Amino acid sequence: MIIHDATRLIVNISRRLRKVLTIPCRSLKTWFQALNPFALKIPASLKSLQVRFFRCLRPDRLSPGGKKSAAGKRHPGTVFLKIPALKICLIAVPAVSGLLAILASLGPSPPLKTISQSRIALHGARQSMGEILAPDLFYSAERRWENLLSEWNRQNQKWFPARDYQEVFKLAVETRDIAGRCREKSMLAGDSLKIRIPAETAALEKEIRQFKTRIRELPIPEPSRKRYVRAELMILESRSAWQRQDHVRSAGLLKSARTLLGQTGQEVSGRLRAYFSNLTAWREMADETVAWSRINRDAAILVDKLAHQCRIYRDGILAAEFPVELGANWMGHKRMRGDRATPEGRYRVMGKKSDCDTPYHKALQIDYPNREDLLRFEDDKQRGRLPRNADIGGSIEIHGGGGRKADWTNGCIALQNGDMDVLFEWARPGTPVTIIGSLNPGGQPLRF
Amino acid sequence: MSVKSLLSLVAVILVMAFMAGCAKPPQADLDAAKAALEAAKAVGADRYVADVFNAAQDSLNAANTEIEAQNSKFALGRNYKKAQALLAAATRLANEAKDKTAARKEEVKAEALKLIEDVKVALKDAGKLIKRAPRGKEGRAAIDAMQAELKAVETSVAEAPALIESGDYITAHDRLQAGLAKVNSIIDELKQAIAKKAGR
Repeated sequence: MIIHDATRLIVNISRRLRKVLTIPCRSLKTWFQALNPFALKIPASLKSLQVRFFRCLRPDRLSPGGKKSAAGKRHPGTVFLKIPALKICLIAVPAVSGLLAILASLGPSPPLKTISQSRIALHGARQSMGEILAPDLFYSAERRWENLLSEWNRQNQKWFPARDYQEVFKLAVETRDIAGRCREKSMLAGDSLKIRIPAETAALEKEIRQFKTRIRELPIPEPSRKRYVRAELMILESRSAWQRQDHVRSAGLLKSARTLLGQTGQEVSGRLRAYFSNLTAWREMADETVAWSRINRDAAILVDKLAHQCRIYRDGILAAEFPVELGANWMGHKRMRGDRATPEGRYRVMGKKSDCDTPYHKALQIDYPNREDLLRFEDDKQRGRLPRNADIGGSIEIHGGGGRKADWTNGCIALQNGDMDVLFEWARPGTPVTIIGSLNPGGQPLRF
Repeated sequence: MSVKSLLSLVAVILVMAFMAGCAKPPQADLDAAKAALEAAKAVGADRYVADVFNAAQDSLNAANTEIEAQNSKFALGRNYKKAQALLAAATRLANEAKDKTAARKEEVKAEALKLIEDVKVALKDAGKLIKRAPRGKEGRAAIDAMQAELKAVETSVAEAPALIESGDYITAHDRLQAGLAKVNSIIDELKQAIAKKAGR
């Protein structure tokens, strides 16, 4: 626009003065075209102006008034300007440019200081890891910054008196303020992480230790066990990240570890809650067994699976208590062959096996599956809880060979050989064997 | 030189100054800086050398500001030299971030590869010690738990080569280091149990 206006002004002045100049017309034409991006048509009157540029540059060939040169030739189809126009141009071009510059300087100017402040604030937010620690604020500031640049560019495309930088100023202020808040929040979060991470790591490590102690005796499913080990590894990974000053990753790993640990804890708690839902029935069964022993003045066997204890009552009085080892998957009732669970219920001794009849020193065979087990098994199969080809299993015994400090049997109850000798002595075919989950209300030591 | 010649010369100079005054924004430099920054980000420079990357990003922002500041001026008064310098700095910093990232990645990768071997050796040692570990007092349950833990470490560590393959060397490195620490703690526990048994 500026060039266009300046060109028009020059042309108009030139036309009025109608003085001949010696500037080569082709060059002038080219200049006009170059300086005239809007393809303004050069007025026809301009063509009558006579110019000899080379003569102007070379005084020896100067021919004022547009006379023929020494060579005596005029350039056909050329455009000439009269000499005084050059002088006018020399004054007019700087004058117009200056005028335009003054006008431009009087027009609205962009809020450079605020923009600079907003840029610095955004850089500060980025440096304080706002992208990670306060992402909402950071991206909001960054979006405003982009809008600011685009709006500024849009305004700059306009004729300068028409420019309005109010929106740019508004966006700059917003960017500066939001980025500032983002920086503050990030720094606070960063400082908090530096304090929180070591404390949280220590707390989680303690929790893991306690958890391991609690579940040591529990047959927790393999996925749950893997999960808590994964949580433990995550805590260690978090330590590595912490050492590398990557506090954000460290915090993220701790969070994941806590989630994993929480999931495992919930699973185990759920399993325990379901397990202990039978507590009342177990207590009744235990009381009935003791009562039977008292009334019949006979021996009765009570196995507490959670406590891993086998109690022998004689005449209703506790005569002996032995540690036992159970099936690897002892928690819950035995449902089918191969589930490595120890059954729960009221059973009786069916037969006694001496050391020549069993590889486990001595054994008392019990009547698993009883009628109740069979009914439950059929019901489970019909409801699709068990595979159609499932087998209920059998040959559950109380036998010797124990003392391995682990639950290793396929569902049997193992005692140490010495203890088995005592039990074998007191028991006879028909002796009641009551196997219960626990007598401990709610499994207090195992609460998660 | 006559007055007219002088005037003509001045006219030429004025026109040249006029043309020079209409300077164009350094679009090519701007595109180059943006491309360099994107390339640096693509290789993870914002994670590995965040400070250099942030400096490059800020230089680009400063250059953009400078360009628009010049665009706001009267055409004859525009000067993009400062913007060009800022863009050159942004490009240089972005390239530096990219190079440093590549070097750091190689370093972490080499460490991770070494850790894979270390973990393998440690797992073997732990396996041997488990066979010698006392089953009695400490209990088989503890041994079973250790075996389960070692298995979990093995699973976790088995993911490391895939992580390295995908270029996530830091995660692989941390995971391997954690695995090694865990296996070493199990080894210590087993050694203590074995020593305790031997001392009895």
